[in-house]
Amino acid sequence: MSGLSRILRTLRRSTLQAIPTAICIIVLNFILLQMAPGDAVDVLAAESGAATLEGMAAMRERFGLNAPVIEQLSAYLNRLLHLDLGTSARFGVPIAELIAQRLPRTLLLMALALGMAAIIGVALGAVMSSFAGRLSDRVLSILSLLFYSIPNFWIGLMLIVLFSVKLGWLPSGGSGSIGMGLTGWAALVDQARYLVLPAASLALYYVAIYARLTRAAMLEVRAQDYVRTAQAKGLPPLVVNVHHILRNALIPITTMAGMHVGAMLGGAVVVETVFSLPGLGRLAFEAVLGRDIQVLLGILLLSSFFVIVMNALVDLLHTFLDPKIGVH
Amino acid sequence: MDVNPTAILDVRNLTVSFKVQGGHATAVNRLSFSIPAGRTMALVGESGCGKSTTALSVLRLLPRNANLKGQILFGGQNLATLPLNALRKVRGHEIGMIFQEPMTSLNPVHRIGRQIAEAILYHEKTTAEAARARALELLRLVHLPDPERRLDVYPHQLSGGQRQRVMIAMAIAGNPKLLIADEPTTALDATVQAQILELIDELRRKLGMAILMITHDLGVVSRWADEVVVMHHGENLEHLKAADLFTEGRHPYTRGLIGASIRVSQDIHYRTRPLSEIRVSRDAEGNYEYALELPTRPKLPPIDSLAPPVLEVRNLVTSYDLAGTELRAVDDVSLIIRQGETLGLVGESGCGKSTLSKTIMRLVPATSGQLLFMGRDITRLEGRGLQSLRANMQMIFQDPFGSLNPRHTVGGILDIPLRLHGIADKAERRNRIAEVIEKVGLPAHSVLRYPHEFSGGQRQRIGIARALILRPSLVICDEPVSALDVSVQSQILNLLAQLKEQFQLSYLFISHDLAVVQYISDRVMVMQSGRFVEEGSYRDILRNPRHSYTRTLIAAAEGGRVAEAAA
Repeated sequence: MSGLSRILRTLRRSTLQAIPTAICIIVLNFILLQMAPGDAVDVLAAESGAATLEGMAAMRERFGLNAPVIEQLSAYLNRLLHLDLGTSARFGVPIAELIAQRLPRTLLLMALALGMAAIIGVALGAVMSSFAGRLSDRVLSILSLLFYSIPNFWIGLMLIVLFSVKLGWLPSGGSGSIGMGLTGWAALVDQARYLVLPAASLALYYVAIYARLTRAAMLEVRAQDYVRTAQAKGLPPLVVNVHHILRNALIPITTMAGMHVGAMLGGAVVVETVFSLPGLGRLAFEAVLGRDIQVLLGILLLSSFFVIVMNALVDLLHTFLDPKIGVH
Repeated sequence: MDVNPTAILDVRNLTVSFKVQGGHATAVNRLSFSIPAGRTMALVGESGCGKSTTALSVLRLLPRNANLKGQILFGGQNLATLPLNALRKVRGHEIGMIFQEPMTSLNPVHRIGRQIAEAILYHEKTTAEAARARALELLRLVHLPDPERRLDVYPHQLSGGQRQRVMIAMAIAGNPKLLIADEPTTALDATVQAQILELIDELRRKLGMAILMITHDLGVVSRWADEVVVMHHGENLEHLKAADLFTEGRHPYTRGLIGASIRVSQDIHYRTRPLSEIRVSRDAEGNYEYALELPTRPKLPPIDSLAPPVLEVRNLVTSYDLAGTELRAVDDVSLIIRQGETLGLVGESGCGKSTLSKTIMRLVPATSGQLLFMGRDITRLEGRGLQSLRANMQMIFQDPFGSLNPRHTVGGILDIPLRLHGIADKAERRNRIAEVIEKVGLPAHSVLRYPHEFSGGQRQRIGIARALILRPSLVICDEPVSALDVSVQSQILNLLAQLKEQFQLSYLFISHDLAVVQYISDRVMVMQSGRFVEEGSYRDILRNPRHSYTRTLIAAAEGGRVAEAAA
């Protein structure tokens, strides 16, 4: 029972801490975007090629863009209170709807990439720390340095060249086969085939980060007294490595991993562009180009909540991993 | 080859060296000893003598850069060359091991029961239920209170003594023929220490184990071991019957260790007899030479009991707020320190002695009560007044490694307080630094060096110099020798006595070690759970202890049976 109460306490604390954070983020985002030059009307006017000053003024009036900043902010906050993200000036669709269309694919991409990165990264890191200073450690260190320093758009392009162009195994872009009328399991497999390359190119950088993190954390734990105790008990190296070293190293690893999840959203923008995946990242990119501030605000708000939720999850994971948390 | 038939462990010509930058450092040099079945063998020596390296060598738990030569014969096998697979069947099964730090030797994320059962499952291939039942049985065997519930707690929910019991339970899980105990009680309070040593001895008799005990404590050796090997720089200097250690020890280093260690039964005092100091040097061929030195006795005037007190503490209370409940760390404490007097304060961890010293130093605010320094109320002193008080009242800390800023030279460390207290003249500051460096017995060129270039004892001298540079009248010594080897401890205690003569100092000397407090103090106060339970002259406290807690402490310090003394 104490486990459940600890989890509930952690959740309550995280929620309470999230409220002021969220308010700060909203206000800050709003002010920052107001400072950027140009607005949606400028872009729409430029794209139409023939707009009068009067027509532009009328459009600004309609979108509420010529009101004082403070008024715009309070109107925005008021709408948020009613759970309304507003309407896109560019697409003419409610922003919530727009995001809801794009969100699942991006989430799936990130979950895949994160899962791949965590599993491969921790495994590589464990191998590196077990053979620290030897050949396999050196080779893997160089590899992880490579993955760490290569930009993911380039990795994406190279993966396309290899797996789509040369080998023809996987599609080079898009989100699903068109006109095949697939349903059920077949549709799922088809969609997954389109996500493999994007997820891999997004994951590689994080594989490198997690591998290095795991290596460092495990080497530190390896020097602890209780590892010597485990060895003195006559346990085989695998048990010592997994039960005693890795298990304790997971605590710092999850902390760092949680902090990197937010950055992954940024990486998703680039990867979605390279693989022409219609996801949240692409939407954000289009919103920036179109100066569609309302859409951008919606996406930023969502990403902030995403990071807050991830942090809460990491906290939760910590109460599970570290019995000392939640006692005091 | 003369194989000793009764020996359970036979170590022959053990040499351990570590690969270091630019060569090899030898930690153990051609060491030989053997342990008969069911007996206790002690390896005794100071830090760096190779005793722990020897203990770790037996199970080959040394770091990777270690190189091991010689033979370690156990049960017809040579552990020094045994393949790792076979060695793992010996580790934790035929030979158990316990370590110095019970706080860090248990895995913090696994439950106690699981940690004990783990080795049983691996070695005996039983079911999980059987291993758990055996773990419970082991916890009963080591007298852990409430064992059923304790199976499912985490290490941080146990005290140090309880954790060491769990460690012992783990080590004896396989009914080992040999138990290696590497400083098993060094990190524990005196009363707990005695209980743990008693437990180990009880288990030795019950299970018929032999014990290899690693310790720096001669008192522990003479009370609990059968035989003893005295070690220095990785060599066996002398092999004795433990009971004869104090009387038959012939080697000058052994004599030195005996002279330097203080026992409560000895009845020696700093005013009448300085402690002998060991001087170890190497001649041109690299051979070690050992000499004993007895410094001259400091000439100290008797304490004038009518003189006004340097420090007076009246009904002091210091409390912490612990999640809404008030925790009284210091609870209604009063004391007086007169000019030239050393007041000893003895108590175990958590008794409030460090909080008391911090409150007197005004590092922690007093909740209520009064502090009078030279007749002046300093309880609520602030600003300039507080700063000038700090010049008159200084502190020496326990940890000579953590309490000196590693980024400053020794000269810099000593210069800062002088500048802060308004000594603007550079030449004068330099003279005062040179003077205090000489007084604490450091070479003059130390001024330009950094703390990490010094040994523990030298660093403590730097700490003393830092405390004395402002010429205070009262120095609070908070466990100043607890982190030091006995031979260094005697040097520092002698130094404190000499400095007292030269600077007319008064000390508040805080320690958990009754023997040390008794030696260095004129008056002793015993502290327990935030209160003083007894006060008396250094003689009375030992000869006529009135409070049962004092009697327990004395019994523990004598290495006797605590349970009987407490009853």
